[in-house]
Amino acid sequence: MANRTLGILRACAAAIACIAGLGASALAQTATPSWLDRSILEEARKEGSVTVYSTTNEEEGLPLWKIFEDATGLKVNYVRASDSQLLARVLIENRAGQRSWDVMQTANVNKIPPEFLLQADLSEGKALFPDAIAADKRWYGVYSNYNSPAYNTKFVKAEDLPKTYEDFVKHKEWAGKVAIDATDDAWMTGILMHYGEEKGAQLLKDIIAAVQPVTINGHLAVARAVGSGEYWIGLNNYVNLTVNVKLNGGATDFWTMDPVVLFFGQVGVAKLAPHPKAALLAANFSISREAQEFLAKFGRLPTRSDVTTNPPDVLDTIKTRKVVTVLLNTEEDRRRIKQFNDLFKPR
Amino acid sequence: MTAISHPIKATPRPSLSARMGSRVSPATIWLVVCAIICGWFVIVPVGALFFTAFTEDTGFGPGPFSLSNFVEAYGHWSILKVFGNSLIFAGGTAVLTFLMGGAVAFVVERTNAPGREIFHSLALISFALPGLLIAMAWTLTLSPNIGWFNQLFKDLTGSKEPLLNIYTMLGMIWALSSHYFPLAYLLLGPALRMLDVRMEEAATMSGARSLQTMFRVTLPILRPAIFSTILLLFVRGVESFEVPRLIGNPARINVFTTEVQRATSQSTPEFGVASALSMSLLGICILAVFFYRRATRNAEAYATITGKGYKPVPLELGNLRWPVTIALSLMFALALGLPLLTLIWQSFFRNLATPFMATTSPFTLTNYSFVLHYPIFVEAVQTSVLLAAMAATFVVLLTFVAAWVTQRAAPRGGWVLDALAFSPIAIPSVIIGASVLFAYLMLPIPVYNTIWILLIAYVTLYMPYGMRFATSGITQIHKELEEAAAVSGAGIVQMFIRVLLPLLAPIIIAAWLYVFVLAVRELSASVFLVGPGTHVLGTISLTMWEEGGSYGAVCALGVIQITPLIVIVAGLRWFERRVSARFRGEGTQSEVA
Repeated sequence: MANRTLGILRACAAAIACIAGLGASALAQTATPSWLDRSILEEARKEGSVTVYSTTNEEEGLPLWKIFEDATGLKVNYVRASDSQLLARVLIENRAGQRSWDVMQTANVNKIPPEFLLQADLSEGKALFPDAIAADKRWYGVYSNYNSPAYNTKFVKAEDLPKTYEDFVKHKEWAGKVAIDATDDAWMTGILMHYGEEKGAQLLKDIIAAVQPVTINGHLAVARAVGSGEYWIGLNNYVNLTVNVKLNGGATDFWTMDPVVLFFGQVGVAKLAPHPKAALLAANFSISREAQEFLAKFGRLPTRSDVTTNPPDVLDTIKTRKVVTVLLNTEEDRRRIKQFNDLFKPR
Repeated sequence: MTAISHPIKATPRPSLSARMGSRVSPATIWLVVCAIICGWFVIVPVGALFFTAFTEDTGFGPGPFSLSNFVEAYGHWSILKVFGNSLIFAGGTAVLTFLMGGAVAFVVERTNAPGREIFHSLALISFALPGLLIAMAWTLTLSPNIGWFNQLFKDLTGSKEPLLNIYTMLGMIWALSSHYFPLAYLLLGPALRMLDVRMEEAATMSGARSLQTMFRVTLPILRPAIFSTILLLFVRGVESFEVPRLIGNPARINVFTTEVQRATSQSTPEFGVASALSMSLLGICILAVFFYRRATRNAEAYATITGKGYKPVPLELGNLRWPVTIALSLMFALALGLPLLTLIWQSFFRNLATPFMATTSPFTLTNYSFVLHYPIFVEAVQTSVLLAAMAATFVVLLTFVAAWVTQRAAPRGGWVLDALAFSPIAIPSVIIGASVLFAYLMLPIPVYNTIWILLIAYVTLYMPYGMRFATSGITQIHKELEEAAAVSGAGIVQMFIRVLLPLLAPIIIAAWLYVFVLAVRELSASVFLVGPGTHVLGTISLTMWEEGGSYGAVCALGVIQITPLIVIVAGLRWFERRVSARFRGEGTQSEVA
């Protein structure tokens, strides 16, 4: 009798252990982030670390990549600089045959020579907007830079704002009170794509003659300058920066007209990455919902529809407009830079 | 009789080293060693400058030989206006800075005006502020639209027009001069301190009036220091970056560095064009050094510290003591007080706020909290201070030896070393950063992503300043002192330590301090060279300016940067006074003996 009882008890204990094991396994599977590809995680861990070149400031970037570190156990080496500096650094390193970076996260990954970038099929890419993925899968969009004019709400009334870009020509009273970033050739390209090369170029010349915009270095500097009243109008700026300054008490807001120019902050994996598996995990993380929700807290606009913007209604007016996506390779970019400089910074 | 034979002994042939030694003087050896060291630091950026200027910039790296960069850089008539603006800007800055710094130097070092110590410290504080912040502070103060000074004027007078406008050529000159006049002070101060007043007394006793003495005795003696100062100020004006960026651009006043900035900040940077533009600056610097050496070739004529002993005596101002102090105080209030007040006040508000006036933005400490809690801030401070100290020490050691070689040991060939050590000043910092990066990626020296690659760039950047300080100082000392030491049996090292070092102590400390302050806020070269774990303050400042942080946060960062620098400056000043007092005391005792 006692033996039978013992046997029943042992069977129950084994069953409980099995059920507990199955439950733990199920829990572990649900806790694994969607971007974490376990099939390459072990190899990535053997690599030990991943080097990220990024334009995102450390206040956002370091906590973001801490999430990645905690989930994978990989150390992230984070290097922050501007688009042009990082691109120059990558080119110089390449000429020297140096393999330093794994992942690049800037707004000009599309300008890196294609042979530097790995064609990667990232699982999280399925959730991105179609425009936010390169056709050859060498880069993926991490955040969206929507470009639209901004104004100072103390000096300009909303009802006086131009309804179209052509209306800018009528506002000669704004001469000298309009600013634009000195490197906004992508926005200019979007205008030309929308209006046509000849008509667009003439329109820009007319606008410049009327409002005489001043070029400033830095989109955030433009946003601050408009928010403070140094300039009344930002002829163009990133919507998220204008919103950022507004949320911090600046007297500014944006408005939209056709077209709204869009380009992306992108992520790309180095073809000769020193830590290839870790690089793939890192790139997949960059475009994941988790990462984009984190960046959205700082006002960045996502490239996937399952992430809510901050504030939630910021894209409402943009969605009613014609959005023109601009992606330039190196040669096109050089041509457009020259064209922008000739228009806005004539010698 | 037998002849006495005295066989002639053959003279032994001298050894090879002895034969070489008789042809190669120690001076030549020193010259070669210094040239190799300086050349190592210089050849990389200068070589890169030539290489990228004369090769086609494909965007992926240099292509074949080409003059297209020069066509792009110089192939438009507006380049003449750019050069004209640059010369006016640099010349105006050099003159105004010289006058301001010279006035401070004269009052502090040669008079008995009250408050001299405070003026010395204030000059160094002004100098410790990063250029980006000074330019920003002046826009927040004197912008016609948002400058608080103009707002106050409009509110008080009812005028709709501003009183002053920073967005003009005069505004640019003022903004840069208010920042650079401590450099003039640091260069001229020690020279004035070491001036032997007996020459002026002799002139007075011969019947010369004060102004005559000033123009015919004092200023000619100070010619090397004056030329060094003006040369450095002029070149600093030509290669200045922050003021043209923040004030010149909106004012549509394009200067030389505006064009360089235009080339390097595109989303695909054009280093070839930037290098082609920099060749002009290199040419200007080489010419400047050449004329400087021609003007000061009779160095003994300028030496005022001789074997006969000297004793600086302050000029008695009499009734002018307090008026002079008040005038200098007003100058500091305008040049330093206004921007500092703006920075400090703004650092307590997120959005624009007029000092002492009500504002909609609440008073807050969140800007300081933001900066102090910024990731990597503490690490950046540690790295910056350590790097700056190492760079200052190495630059001072190297350049003072090199300057002695060019002035004393090998004056005929010395101009080559002088020009070599000075040439990096002509190369924009951003190009130095990029070329150092490239070189040390190619060379089998594992310094990439370490603090050492930053140090190499910093030494390259600041060698020219060390050289000007050193040359200015050594020219003041008559070589008979060294000759006396040599005759007494002292070797070169002993002579350096026991004769030159005590006399040069004030200018060595000034040079060390200047390089330290510049290095601790270096930015343009660092952006290419920082890696994980080697962040510096300059790159954090730029990140906050470009990528995040309000006006208030950027100002708070500036205030936080200044505070430890003030402590360091005060400490060095205390050390400098002790050194100077100690060696003056020894001199007096030896005179009595």
